[in-house]
Amino acid sequence: MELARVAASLEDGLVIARLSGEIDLTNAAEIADRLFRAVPHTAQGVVIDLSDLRYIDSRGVYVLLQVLERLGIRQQEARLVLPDESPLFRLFTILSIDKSPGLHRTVQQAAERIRTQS
Amino acid sequence: MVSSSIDSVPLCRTATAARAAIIILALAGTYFVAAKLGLRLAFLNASATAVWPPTGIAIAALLLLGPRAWPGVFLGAFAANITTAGTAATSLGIALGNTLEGLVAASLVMRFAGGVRTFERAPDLFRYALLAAVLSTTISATIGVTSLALAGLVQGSEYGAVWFTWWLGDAAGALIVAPLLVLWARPSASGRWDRARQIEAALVILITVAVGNIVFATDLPMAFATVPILAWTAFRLGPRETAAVTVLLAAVAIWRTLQGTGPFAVGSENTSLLLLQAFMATMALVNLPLATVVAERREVTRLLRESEGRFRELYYHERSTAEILQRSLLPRALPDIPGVEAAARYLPAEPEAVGGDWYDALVLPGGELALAIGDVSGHGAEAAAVMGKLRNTLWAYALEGLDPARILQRLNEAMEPGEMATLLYMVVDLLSWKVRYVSAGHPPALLMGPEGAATYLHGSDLPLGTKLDRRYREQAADLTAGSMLILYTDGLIEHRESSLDAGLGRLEASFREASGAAVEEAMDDVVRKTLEGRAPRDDVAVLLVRIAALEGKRLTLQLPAVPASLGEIRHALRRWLAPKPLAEGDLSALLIATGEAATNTVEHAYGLADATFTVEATDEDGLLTIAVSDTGAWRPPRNVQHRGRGFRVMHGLVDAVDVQTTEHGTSVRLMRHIRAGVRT
Repeated sequence: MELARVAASLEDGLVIARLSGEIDLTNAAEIADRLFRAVPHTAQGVVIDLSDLRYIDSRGVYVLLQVLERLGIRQQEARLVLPDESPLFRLFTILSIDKSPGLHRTVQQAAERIRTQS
Repeated sequence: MVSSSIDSVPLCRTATAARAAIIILALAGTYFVAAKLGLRLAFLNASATAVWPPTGIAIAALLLLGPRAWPGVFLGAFAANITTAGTAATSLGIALGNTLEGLVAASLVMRFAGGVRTFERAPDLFRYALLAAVLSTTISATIGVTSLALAGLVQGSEYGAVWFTWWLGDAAGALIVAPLLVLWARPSASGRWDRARQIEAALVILITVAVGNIVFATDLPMAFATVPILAWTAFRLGPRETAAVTVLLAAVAIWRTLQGTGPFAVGSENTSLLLLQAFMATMALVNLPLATVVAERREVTRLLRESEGRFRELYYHERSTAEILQRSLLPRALPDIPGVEAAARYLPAEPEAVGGDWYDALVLPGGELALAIGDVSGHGAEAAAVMGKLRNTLWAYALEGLDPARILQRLNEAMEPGEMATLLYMVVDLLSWKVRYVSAGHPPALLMGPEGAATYLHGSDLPLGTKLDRRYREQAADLTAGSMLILYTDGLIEHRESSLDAGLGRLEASFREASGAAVEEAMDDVVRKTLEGRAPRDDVAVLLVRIAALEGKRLTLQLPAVPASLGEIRHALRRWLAPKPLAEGDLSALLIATGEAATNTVEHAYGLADATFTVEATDEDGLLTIAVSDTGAWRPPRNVQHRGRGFRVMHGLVDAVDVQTTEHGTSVRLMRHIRAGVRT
């Protein structure tokens, strides 16, 4: 089976991208590319849901943050979603992203945040 | 030949005409000399002789040079007769008879007896004997003797005897002399003689002269002694040599018989010569066809051997091409996964070295073990090519992450009309111990638990290429630690004398017996016992795997320093850690920390070929230590920023991180207590 999947859907001008599987050095760049291409110019922004992600390392997180940056240049808001109970949460804490305004606990929160901002 | 060259380009007309005249004069000269020689042996009548080689010369010349050479015959005959006996009128009549005889004989032979090749095939030779030697010669005898009778040179009472002598002399000339001239004028079929053949030919000549001088110099009836010489020549040397030996023997015999010795020297000289000529003509009539039959047979054998050689060469070429193709389509090595032992065999069916059976095993990106075995219908390079298509398509879809059932549907769509194959595709999840499989008309895999309970994994859809049912259904089974799986093609269980069920029973029994052995040994046992020592009727592919749990205090992995190893490490660690009391968050922490260390190592190797590293995990009473060690004195690391972040993550996720760098390489040790009581 594939190492990781990106399932993207457009909901009211917002892309909801659900990541599942594992992200490491082998596929981080490709996943980032797929994410970037899943967001059309017309979309308001993207919610990247990491709830079902089984594994990611610092390299993977770094590449995700780069996607957020690239979308920001395009004036598109991007948010990550990771619930507290995720086994990956500690990694985000160590990397000091847990408190960042770009990280939400639920998709709904993230989506609302993007909509109210713009 | 002359006829065509005479009519050729006008510019050369004079030159060709001159050439034709020379040929005709040469023929006339030869005919004249032979005729004078023959007429010296005319005892009954000055113009009628029992020995008449000119008839042979005339027929041979007209066959070889064409009917336009007739003036040579006519001139030679006229000159020989006018200078011997009779009048201009009788000589004209005789010459006319001789010429007509040759022309009729040649045209009949051209038309009905193979032309110039008349002495090269036995049936043609018999037709020649009848048309040229027996029938055409009556023309010369009748015209010649009648001319003499009209001139009063033959009495009415003598007519019959003179006619018979004349006719027999001509017939003998046609049978003895013509073959010699025609055969030797034609290109030899047997090619150049080697030394042994030259010696044998010389020996035959010597023996012919010797035997001829003995047989025809004694009064005992020993003519039979000449039979073996001619038979020898006919069997061993060929038609040309047989014709030559016949002429040689006839010459010796005539000479000796004229001296009044030998088995045919009875009564008058004419009677003796008539008897002798009849004997020699008979010998020629028997031995020439014999020689041609032997030569024909030799030629046919040679051609057969040649074409057999060509076919053999083609066959081996095709066979080895297909063999190379097939070998290249089987995996060079099976995947190396901790806890998984695998063995595979491919047995070609004799004499057809190549079938369409294949197997393969691969680790999917998610860590699952994928197994495939298939049987393409047909044999040879074509089947191997279809097999290559299936194998490549299968892995392309499998690596894309398609479900097994979907993959088989796609493979079915990729089949061309006329192609057919069975296939069993199986994905083993080494963590959950679940097996998913789809079968396209393939014999069921056999699963055996560690305690020896064997089950066939049934459930199969139609073979690929049938275009009838495009739905393939996924089946599932559960494994336990220590289970063995055997996948095979029908060649293993098929048997001429027993049913398929009996074959399945034999496989199950031999598989159960082999359960304790190492896989390579188990494989040999299973194959031998299931086939009952026979060579397989059809080719056989077998894939056997035993899957053990990763347990115990220690796990050691040796890996190439490439990104793909990162997933393998996680997969092996998950399997090893599965039985341990570990919260999900702690498991992730260990995997991420190890991943950070291994990523640093893989990046540090800069894609160096053959660079390897090891991951060693130990469990000592709840203290887990995972050491990631490289062995290379590699260049100093770049990507310092990433490395720094990696170390920060490691420190945050485990209890202790210990880095040791020596001249032998770097080792990162990650430590974590996993038991509540020990954990700090």
